[in-house]
Amino acid sequence: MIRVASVMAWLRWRLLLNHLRPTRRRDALERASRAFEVIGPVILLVLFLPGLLLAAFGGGAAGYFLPRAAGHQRQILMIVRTILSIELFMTLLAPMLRAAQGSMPNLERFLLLPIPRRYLYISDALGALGNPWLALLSAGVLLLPVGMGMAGLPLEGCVALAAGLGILLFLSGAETCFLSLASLLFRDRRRAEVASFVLVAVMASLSFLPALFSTLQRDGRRAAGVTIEQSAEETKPVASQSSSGGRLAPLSLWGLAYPPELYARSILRCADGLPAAALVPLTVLLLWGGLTHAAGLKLYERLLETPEVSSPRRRGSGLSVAWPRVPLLSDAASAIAVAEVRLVFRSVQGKIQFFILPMVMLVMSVLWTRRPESALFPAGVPLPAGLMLATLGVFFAMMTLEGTLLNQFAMDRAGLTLAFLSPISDRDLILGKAAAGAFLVASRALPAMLVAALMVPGGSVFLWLALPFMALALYAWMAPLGAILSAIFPRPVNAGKIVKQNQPHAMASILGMIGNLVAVVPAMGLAGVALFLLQSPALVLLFVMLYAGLALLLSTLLLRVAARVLARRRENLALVAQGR
Amino acid sequence: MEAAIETKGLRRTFGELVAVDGVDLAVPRGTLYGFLGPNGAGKSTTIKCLTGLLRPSAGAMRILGIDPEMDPVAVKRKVGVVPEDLALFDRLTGAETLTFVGKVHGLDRATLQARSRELLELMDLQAASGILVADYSHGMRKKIALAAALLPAPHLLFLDEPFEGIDAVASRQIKDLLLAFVRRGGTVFLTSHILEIVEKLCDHVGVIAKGRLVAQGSLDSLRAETRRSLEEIFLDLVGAGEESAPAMEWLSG
Repeated sequence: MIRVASVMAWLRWRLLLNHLRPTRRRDALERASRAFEVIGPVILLVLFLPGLLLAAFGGGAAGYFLPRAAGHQRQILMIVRTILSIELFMTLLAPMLRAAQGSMPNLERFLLLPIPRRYLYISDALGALGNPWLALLSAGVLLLPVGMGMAGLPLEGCVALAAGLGILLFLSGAETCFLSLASLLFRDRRRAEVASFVLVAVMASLSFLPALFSTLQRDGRRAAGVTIEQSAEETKPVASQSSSGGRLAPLSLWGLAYPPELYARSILRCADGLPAAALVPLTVLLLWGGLTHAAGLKLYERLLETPEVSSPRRRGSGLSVAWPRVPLLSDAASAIAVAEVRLVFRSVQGKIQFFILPMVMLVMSVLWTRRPESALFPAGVPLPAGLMLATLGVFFAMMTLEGTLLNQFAMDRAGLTLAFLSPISDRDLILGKAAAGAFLVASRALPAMLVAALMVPGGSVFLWLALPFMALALYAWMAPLGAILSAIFPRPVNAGKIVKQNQPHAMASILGMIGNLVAVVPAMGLAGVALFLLQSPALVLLFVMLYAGLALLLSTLLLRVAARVLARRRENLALVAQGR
Repeated sequence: MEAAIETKGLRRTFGELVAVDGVDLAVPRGTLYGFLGPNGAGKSTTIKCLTGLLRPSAGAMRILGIDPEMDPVAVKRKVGVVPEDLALFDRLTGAETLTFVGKVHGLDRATLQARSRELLELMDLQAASGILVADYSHGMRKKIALAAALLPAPHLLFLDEPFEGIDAVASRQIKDLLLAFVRRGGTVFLTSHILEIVEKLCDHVGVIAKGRLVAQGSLDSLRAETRRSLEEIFLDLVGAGEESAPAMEWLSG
């Protein structure tokens, strides 16, 4: 068993190190850009080590001082609860995210090796402790008993150590359990894509909950006629009561069902010098650990028994393919544009970006309509809120397109080779991509503007009409810039997954963002002059239209430059598209 | 008659590594040319140079009488390619892949539909035509890539390992198809590791080893000169004929 565990640990280590190694057959610029990308993980790795030492020191110090903090048990309990709840959340979320990112362990490979399945499971469970959040926690909970021992409570330290091992047992069990569950869920491509979409949608919705709840709470208070001052007064006695500390309430039923609470209770009982009283929560905690591992092993075995299962393929419409012809473009450029739009809408990222933006706009509109006095926009801006929201929507639309716009060649992967092997000139390829990008921006910006206009109407019609032209002007600048950056900084991605690595190259992102800002400043400036100095919304529309026209004109020239850059970078792009 | 493929001193380097070193290819039109070589000999690099995916470091090329460096689009209009990575968009269906290729080549709707139907039937992919390529098996991907290469009716086909990973029935169908294509005047340039297939299918061969073309010509003339099988000729040419496998007595079974 020890041999298997050490081999697996070595494998993880080598995979981590080899990930940082560059591959051959790249030109100097590509090697430099790859080095730039590796810096981030290296810095994180370097920062992790002091973090580990800090967690260990924090654990030891907590163990030493806990017995002296008898009057503050509630606060301590709250801190421990919070830390462990975050740990638990990470433990449950991380496998789902890993699965959604496609970085699940290659079980088929391990199945071919002469390793008993139970050993494979144990090595996976031990490996879970190597995850950064669990490694940091392990350092803390294992050093806490040492602190207690140094404070003169050796028996209590032993019980706290058992509790620490119990919570680690539970968390590693929960992690392997969820990892297997996630693997089962995500191993089918279509199911994985749906699950990824749902996961992102749920996470996005969760991020809005605090704002929505605060709105509802405020509405409730307002309806009940309670002022802010009254509400502050009401909270005072609670605060003073909690600061008085006192005895812990008896362990409730929910506490028994919540392992982090059981751990917190165990160590607090130990700190009180009552190790016998810690035995009940400790025993239930260890039971939880055993249960999660039993379930984890069962799921793991199921996963190993059926490593290659997928749902039946969906039959499509067959030969009749609707393939519209894009006006003003050549056959080849039109084919590229249509293919690009289809590919983006069929990718998980494309679907997420298309649906999330109107959702964000809807939530922001709701927030605005319920709390117009909130600091959603800076005070004193004399513009209708709906218009401000719609402007924000245009920027968001540009930002969501970043993944496509700033990595438009490498994102096609092997499809790019097909394009390179086809009789398509560099200019047609660039024009086709630019046309597709225009459609994609419109498909995101227009619904966002529509939501804002419907939810928070008001303001001059000229200003509303100026917005689409502003979007056009922005995109006219970004299309050639995006093509140039995509050609210089390609990054092989898998748009079917929601991995961080699916983002464009960091350099492309930074330069793209700067480009976005540079493009928007003149438009904003012109609109500002027309609106605030000349006091004419109609002039805003005129100025923005003129700016959009100029941007389009320059864009056509810059697209030629982009075609030349593409011609020079073709070979490297072909290598990147092949994953070299 | 002008050669379908002609190279002079074709050379490609990657840093210090010389992948292709002064290759002089001469592939006559209307032939089925097998390009052989051990792993890492430079076969795929040569094909990539010929198809425009890699730029040669030195040397000259003419494909169907056109210099691909001067007019790459003109060459690509006349050439079909099934490269190593199959070059397919994962998120297009089989039928959409053919439509994309047809549209890029400017085929009209009727021609595109008729050819697509015939090719999908031939490759036994009609039922899977509406499925995303991402859900295809390796063999299905290979067949749709071949169908896409054939769709514009090319004069010259480049096939990198066309028989790898496909079943015997499909393999037979593809062989018949290639032979019919050559009978009608087309040229096929294929690489393969399976010497038996090359021996049965090809009329001309070229052998590359360590980036250098070590033999080239009609299969009959090569056999007549040496009175040996293609496998023996190949092993001799790539310098593996004299080598024997190490004993490895620990492999006792």
